[in-house]
Amino acid sequence: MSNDADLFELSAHRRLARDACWQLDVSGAHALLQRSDQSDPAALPEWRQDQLDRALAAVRVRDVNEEAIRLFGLTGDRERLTARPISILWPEQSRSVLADLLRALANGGPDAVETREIGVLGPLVDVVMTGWRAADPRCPDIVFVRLSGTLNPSSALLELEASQDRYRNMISSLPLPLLQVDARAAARMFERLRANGITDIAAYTRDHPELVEIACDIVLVTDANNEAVALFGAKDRTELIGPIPFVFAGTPGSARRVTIAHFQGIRNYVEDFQILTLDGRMLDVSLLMTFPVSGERHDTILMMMVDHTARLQAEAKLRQVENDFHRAARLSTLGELTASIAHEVRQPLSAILTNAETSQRWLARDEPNLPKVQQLTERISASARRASDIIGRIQDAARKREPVRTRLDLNEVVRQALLFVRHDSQDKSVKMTLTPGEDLPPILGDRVQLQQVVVNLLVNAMQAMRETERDHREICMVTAVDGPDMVELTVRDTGPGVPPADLDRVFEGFFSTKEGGMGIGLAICQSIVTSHGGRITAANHPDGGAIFRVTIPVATKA
Amino acid sequence: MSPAPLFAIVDDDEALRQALAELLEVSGFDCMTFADADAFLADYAPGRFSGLVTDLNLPGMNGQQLQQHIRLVDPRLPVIVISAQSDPAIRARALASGALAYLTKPINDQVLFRHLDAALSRFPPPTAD
Repeated sequence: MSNDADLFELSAHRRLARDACWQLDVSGAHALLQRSDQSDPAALPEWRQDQLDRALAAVRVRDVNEEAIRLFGLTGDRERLTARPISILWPEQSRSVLADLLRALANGGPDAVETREIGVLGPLVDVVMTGWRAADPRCPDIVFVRLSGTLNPSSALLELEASQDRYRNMISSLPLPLLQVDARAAARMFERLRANGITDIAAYTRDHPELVEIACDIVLVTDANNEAVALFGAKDRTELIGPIPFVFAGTPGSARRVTIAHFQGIRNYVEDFQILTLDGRMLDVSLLMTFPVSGERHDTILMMMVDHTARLQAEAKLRQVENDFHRAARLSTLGELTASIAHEVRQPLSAILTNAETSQRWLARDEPNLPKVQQLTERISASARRASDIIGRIQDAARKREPVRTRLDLNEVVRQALLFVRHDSQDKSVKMTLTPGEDLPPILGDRVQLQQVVVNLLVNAMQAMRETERDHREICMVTAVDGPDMVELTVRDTGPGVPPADLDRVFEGFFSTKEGGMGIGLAICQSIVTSHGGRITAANHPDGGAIFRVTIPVATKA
Repeated sequence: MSPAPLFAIVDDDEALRQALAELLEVSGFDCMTFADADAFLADYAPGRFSGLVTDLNLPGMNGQQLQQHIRLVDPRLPVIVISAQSDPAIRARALASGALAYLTKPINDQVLFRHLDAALSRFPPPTAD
């Protein structure tokens, strides 16, 4: 490439190792740089800010040497800098000096050489900027700019460089996807908007959606660490270096929200959104951005992304496993209650059969008693409905289903659960009493799951009392309001109680003192109660027996 | 003339209790129904009932306890136990305690009547003196 050769020649000729060289294309900036009048060059006017911006935006980079990349703190590769406007790469303090120099060259002859002093630039002091036009007449719009100076021996600057190295190391080794972003161009655009009296950026971007696009196109990703490369499915770092819109491609609207946050001078911006990776995956990530405040370098906005996809998938899977587990536990409880359930269904079936036989007897008489038959068939229907309801309840309890939250009366939940264990408790001579609290506020929960909690507690209590004398087997349930936000259910038995050492462990899965017990009943209770925002605790009553206390938040008033 | 035989039915399930009462009625038996053992015992007087049909699973005093109690206070009163359970051990225990029969639900009406007839023939209602 001939331009490379030119640059090499230039460096070699000057023999100044730390000279930074720029090769610029000013073809787009003629109109802005050339003076219309031919008055004294010394009387060139001061730059107006907008003229300066427009002029430098029209000057494009053709090439730079490595020294320039280092000196100007440019990020990205040499070829990626090509064709970029010099306006977004040149430091603020010396932009007008550069513009002056380019304007002088544009208005001078082909052999003109212009020199300007710009003082400090990075680690250099006494920096002199020299510019001249390409010697080759075929390239009239190519301008070379060389910067030379002496290295500031101040240890502070060396320290700064070292800290910048450390900073780069930190970014590259941080185990989180990180993008470094240069948003200076957008910041300048925002300054102009503010100068024009625009303060409500949300309204402005609604009316001018193109502003967001423009702002994004001029904001550049200048560095990316390996984690970011992996997150975005890029082949290497360079694929991510460049304009920022790819970051927002997965979530329409996110670019606008970030633009608004930047404009408003918010320090930190956080958004959960989705990214579309370069290899076409959608990922759930949290975006965390820290915007610079005035006085800080605007070229280093850090964008951190935390990938939640794996976590969300794991959570979904865990929920599924939990549901399966709950179902297995429900089925095992139902299995333990088979006799009770069979009894519960047989009761109405028995009534149906007897009523049907009685009806036939009435009908078989010489003068059939039809009013009796009608009464009996009505009772048959009622019992059949009852049998059907019981079967429905059992199916509900056994079915694999997603939890459904509805407003429930805790007393009703307890009463329905009691039906499952009523005959089991009669078989085992366990006296069960429910003292329902009055005017309990409704709770929001899954009926079947909460019934399961009650059934498990009752089955647990009955099993705890298997060594208790039959006359003394008792379960007392009490529901009550517990403060303004909770309702509670206590289940007390007259068994031996829980050994104090085990009180903390009874809710652990697979903790059981029963022979043949799975030890998951109470673990299930805890998991269900917790998922309802409540608590379950175990204690021993001072007069003997275990007491389990469940609290559930009341439903917020809809 | 002796009074019409009166049977007592004790079952906590209202539908079944009513159904049994209707069944006895269509066959010309008089009966009274009770929801639990205590209600029955409150109405009980020696010689008042010709037989007791009781469910085994009752709240409070269960059918077996009731049967044992009756055996002490009125050994001549025939007891027919009905239950949804067909557990042979429970059945054997009920019969060993002197139950006339152990019937599982759903109740076969003909079997029930056979036992009610047997109760009446083995233990005829007391004559009014």
